[in-house]
Amino acid sequence: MLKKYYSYLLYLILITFVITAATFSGYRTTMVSSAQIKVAKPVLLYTPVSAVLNGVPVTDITNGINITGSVPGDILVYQFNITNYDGIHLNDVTMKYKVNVAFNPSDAVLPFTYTLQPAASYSADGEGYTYLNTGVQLTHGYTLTVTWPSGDKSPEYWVKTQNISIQISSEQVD
Amino acid sequence: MQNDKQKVILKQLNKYILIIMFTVLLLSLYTVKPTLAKYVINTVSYNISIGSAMKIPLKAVTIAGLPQADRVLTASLTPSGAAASYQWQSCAAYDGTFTDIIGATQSTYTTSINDLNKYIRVMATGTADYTGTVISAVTSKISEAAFVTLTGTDTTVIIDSALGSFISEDLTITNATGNPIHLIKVVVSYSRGNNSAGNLSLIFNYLGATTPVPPVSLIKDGPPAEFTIAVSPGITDLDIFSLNFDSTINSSQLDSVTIHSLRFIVLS
Repeated sequence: MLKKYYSYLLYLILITFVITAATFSGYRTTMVSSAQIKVAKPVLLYTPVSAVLNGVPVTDITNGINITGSVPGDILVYQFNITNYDGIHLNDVTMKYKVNVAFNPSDAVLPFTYTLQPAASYSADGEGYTYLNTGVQLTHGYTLTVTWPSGDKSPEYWVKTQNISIQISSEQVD
Repeated sequence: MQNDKQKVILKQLNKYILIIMFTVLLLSLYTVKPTLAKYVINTVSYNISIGSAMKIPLKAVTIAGLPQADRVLTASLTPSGAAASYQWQSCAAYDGTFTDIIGATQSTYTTSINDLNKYIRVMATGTADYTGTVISAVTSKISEAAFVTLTGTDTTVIIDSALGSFISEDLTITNATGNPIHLIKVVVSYSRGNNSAGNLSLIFNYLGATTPVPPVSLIKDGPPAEFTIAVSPGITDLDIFSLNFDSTINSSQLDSVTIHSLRFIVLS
């Protein structure tokens, strides 16, 4: 009886090893010697394009935008692209992504409103995800417009900082 | 007996282990399947940080209105609706040193003949929720408004009485409807019927004049003299005006005084 028990236990251990190995082995490849191995590569690149505050271009937007001295009536227009190529690689797998605009802190300290407009109508799954296909270079453009309504002049808004993050989450389509 | 009891326990234990094993197996497969099947790119995050000002700075102030005497100039602020104090300034040169116009501290300023040939600008300083000082662009040189000449004929009055005679007329300004009078320019000349020497000094009196009119000297048979009277804006009727002769002149020597024309500066 104990022997049977040990057999089951061994079986369980083996299964665990197999699953664990499969889990950690995903998307790794090893090239041996000069052999060439082509592995499907996902490419989904986020690229800042331009930012304009009240009609005046904002410089240095590569790693984010930092604005000080904002006042009621300010309008920030920020454009960015999502592409399926990075200049070297073209996306090999169909991806889908979701763009989310989040305020931090979530209870906005400044009375900004925003709109996020795509440059065109892109194929979507109906659950907030947009498809980014393969085969040819694709660029999805977006414009985020952040507005401080000119009527919101309360002193409670003086010397405050509002962080607004654009989050792009993506995954391979089944 | 004891051995049989152990076997039963082990048998039961074996069942539980089997159940647990398959449960774990199923859960494991269910959990790892999505991970095995898909690429997932971690969320890309791009941050926009916007800091507000301590107070709202004034951005600009502009002047609306014609750069003419007796016009209302209006200052407009950006952002609109901002609270500010104002100081209007003038200068004889476009790029000279502007000095404050005494008492001109409202958002509007009515120019006067004192501003003729000067340049005007306004300085606004934020108050309440607004901060900063902005200065407007300089206006064009303040000029006179256009003249409108009254219709009518010259008036000649015969002087035949004693010293201090006066002429009284009642003039209705028919072509100045809707245009507030700013200045009256009077053009008169003096002629005599005899050859006696002596010139004439006139004082023009008008009840609506805002400042006294200095005496006007007329040379016998000379060119018409012109003098200006500032009047309150809005007057469209000259009920009574009079010419008082200088008391040093012997009126017995006068034959006539001709009022050639009256010209009114109006705001068109």
